[in-house]
Amino acid sequence: MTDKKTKEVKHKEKLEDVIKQRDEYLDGWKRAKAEFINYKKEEAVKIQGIFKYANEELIDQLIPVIDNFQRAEAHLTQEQKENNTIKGVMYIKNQLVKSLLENGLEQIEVLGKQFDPNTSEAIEEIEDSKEKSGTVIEEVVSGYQLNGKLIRAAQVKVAK
Amino acid sequence: MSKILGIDLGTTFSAMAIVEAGEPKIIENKEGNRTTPSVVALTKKGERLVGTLARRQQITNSENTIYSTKRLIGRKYSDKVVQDEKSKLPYEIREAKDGGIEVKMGDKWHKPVEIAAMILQKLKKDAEDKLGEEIKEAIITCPAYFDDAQRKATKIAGEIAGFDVKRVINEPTAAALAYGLANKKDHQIIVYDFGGGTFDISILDVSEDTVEVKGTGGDSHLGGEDIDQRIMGWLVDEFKKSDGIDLSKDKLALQRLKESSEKAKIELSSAIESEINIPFVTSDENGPKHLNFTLSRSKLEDLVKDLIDRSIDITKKTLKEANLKPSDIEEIVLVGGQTRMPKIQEEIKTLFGKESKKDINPDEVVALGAATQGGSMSGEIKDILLLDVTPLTLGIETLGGVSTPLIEKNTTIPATKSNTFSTAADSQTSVEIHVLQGERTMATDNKTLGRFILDGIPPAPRGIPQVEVKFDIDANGILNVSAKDKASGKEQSIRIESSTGVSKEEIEKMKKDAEIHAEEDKKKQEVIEVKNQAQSAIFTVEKTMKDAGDKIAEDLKKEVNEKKEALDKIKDSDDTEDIKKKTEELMEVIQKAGAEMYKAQQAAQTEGQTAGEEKPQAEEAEFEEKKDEKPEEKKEEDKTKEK
Repeated sequence: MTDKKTKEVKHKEKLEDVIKQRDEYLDGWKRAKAEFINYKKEEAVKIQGIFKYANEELIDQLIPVIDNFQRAEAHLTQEQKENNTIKGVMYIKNQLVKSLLENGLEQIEVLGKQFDPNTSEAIEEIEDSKEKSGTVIEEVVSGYQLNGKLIRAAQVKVAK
Repeated sequence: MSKILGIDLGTTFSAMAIVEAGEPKIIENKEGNRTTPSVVALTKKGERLVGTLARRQQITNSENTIYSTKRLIGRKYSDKVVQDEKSKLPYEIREAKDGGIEVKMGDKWHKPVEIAAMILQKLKKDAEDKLGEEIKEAIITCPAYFDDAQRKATKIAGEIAGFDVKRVINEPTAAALAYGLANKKDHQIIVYDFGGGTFDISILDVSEDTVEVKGTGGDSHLGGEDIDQRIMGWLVDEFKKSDGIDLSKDKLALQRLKESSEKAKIELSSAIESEINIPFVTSDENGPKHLNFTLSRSKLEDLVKDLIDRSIDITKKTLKEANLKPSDIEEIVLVGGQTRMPKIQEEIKTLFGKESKKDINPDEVVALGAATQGGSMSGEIKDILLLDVTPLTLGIETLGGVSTPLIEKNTTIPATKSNTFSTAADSQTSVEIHVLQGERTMATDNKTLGRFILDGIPPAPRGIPQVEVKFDIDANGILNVSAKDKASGKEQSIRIESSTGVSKEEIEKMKKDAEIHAEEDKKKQEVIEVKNQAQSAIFTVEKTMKDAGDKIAEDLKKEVNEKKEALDKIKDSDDTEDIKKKTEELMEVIQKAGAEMYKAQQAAQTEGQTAGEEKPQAEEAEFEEKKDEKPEEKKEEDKTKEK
């Protein structure tokens, strides 16, 4: 009699164990499936993001080109500025800038404003009796944002 | 199941990762970057900045911008290392009452542990924002040479930041974990960590359940930045020679030189030379000056030879101190962006005589490893769910002795793939399924896993029957291959044990063979394709002619036969160009005949059906993807072929 009961109890326990395990596995399976479905949804959102910022890398690489054009322009003497060939090259520079602006690029205004690390990187501090401390007194390279996102911080000189 | 964040708290940069869907992934910070500068600052307005923002204002606020706290954390003020650093740091440090260190930021004095906590706090918040859930637990890494005080301080930093720090693990161990090396028994692993500012060598002994550090070595002031400096120095020298100007005095020019040097260094890891182009770098009374030099990879290697040699010497020394020889090391793991440099990889290969583990992004591998540890602990990575991959491609032999894949290599298992094939000859009633494993194009170059025959296929013209072949691999790597004739329902199958149980050496060899023979295999496949098409064209034409009977004009018939004979004569030769040409000519002429037949038919107004070619079905494409869809024929043997 007791033998049969212990067998029964054992079977009951085993069954409970197995049911517990089954529930665990089923739950795990469902979670894995759900994770996969969610992953697919996230990928879809990511792909949308990629389209939006697809140009970012290309534009990123073109910004130093504009930087150098600006440097070139800063070096022009008055005479050179009036030289027709040089004028033509500067028109080409304008063309490049225009294309980028049409693709969502925007220059950030920092000159004369208070230094803001959210948009600018300080590369030098200069004594300036005229300006208030912390004012951006020179923009060495411009800062840009693409579709509202900072793509390149401006490099500036700040009044001490 | 809450997730555990893995954090690599670095001297100059920190990174974080978490396990998602069973895999560790780097989490971007708020600024969208995968790494965060380990910099904290207090602005004059009293605002606390962490990361890139802190770095951007460093020059205007150097006394209150704290960086490299990892060099100070957990140390005593009197430590030689601290005294050495002190002279280099623009911010103030002093001895704390307990002999520790305090740094001044703004008006307050902080312990390095608090500064580290500020960095960790930013990482925590950014991770929570990105993941949309609270992150309570973390695993933080530290150098293998950190002593108890330093490890404790790292843990406390995490706690101050609001984490329950589950563990502080060694950076080299984390890197080994990322590569799954911690499951191997009795392995000696060396981790070569050449980062931005520091070089660390660690020797690990991996056993069943522990990872032990057998030895450490390094140079806390040897890193990628030193390599950048060498390039900058070379540029300054070259410019002095070419233009007579010393750029080292010009802060702005130096800044551009630094950026360009780093960019060139990175380019030279994949290119043989790099053009360094800095227009309007400076100017003098004669006008603007431009810097434009080409740096070759070999020149770069020359410039930094002593630095690389130093790292190798330190490696050798550390091995010796641990009583080990390079041949005792089973695995080498590369950490740190600088290890992407080909010369460094070459030197390491020469020293150890084997390839190192470098597939995982060396800047991220430590954070990923920490996340992996977190994943195991939180149950995200359950052992029973650890899935394997099938290391080599599995497929069957098809027309022409070609190996046609069904399951590609590195497919995660369990997996099922099926494809429909057909017969090669008219009235073929059985097909042989020859199961193959390997990367080569030809069946004979791959490994036979098994063969079986499916018979009882109702007789039909070649290309008509549909035989579905299914490959199913279960989680244990047991492969079940079945073939079923859709018409008769007849099915046959075979079970192959351990299709994944190939030794690592065998796998590498097979992959290498495939690479070496890739060109030649490709050519072989092309030749077979051309021959198959020729044969197919001949059969098609014969059938069409038979069915058409009188509907084709005599002179056209003659032309078709002539072309067919011409092709038949040379179809077994090796002149693929000729075969292609004659096949085209034959197809042209039979299509002309076909057009004639249609015209005649329309004129006669008979009803519908021409006994033309069957429409191509499922897998035709595979074998003749881009060409026309005529089913193929092989010789009269019982070989399966694609449709």
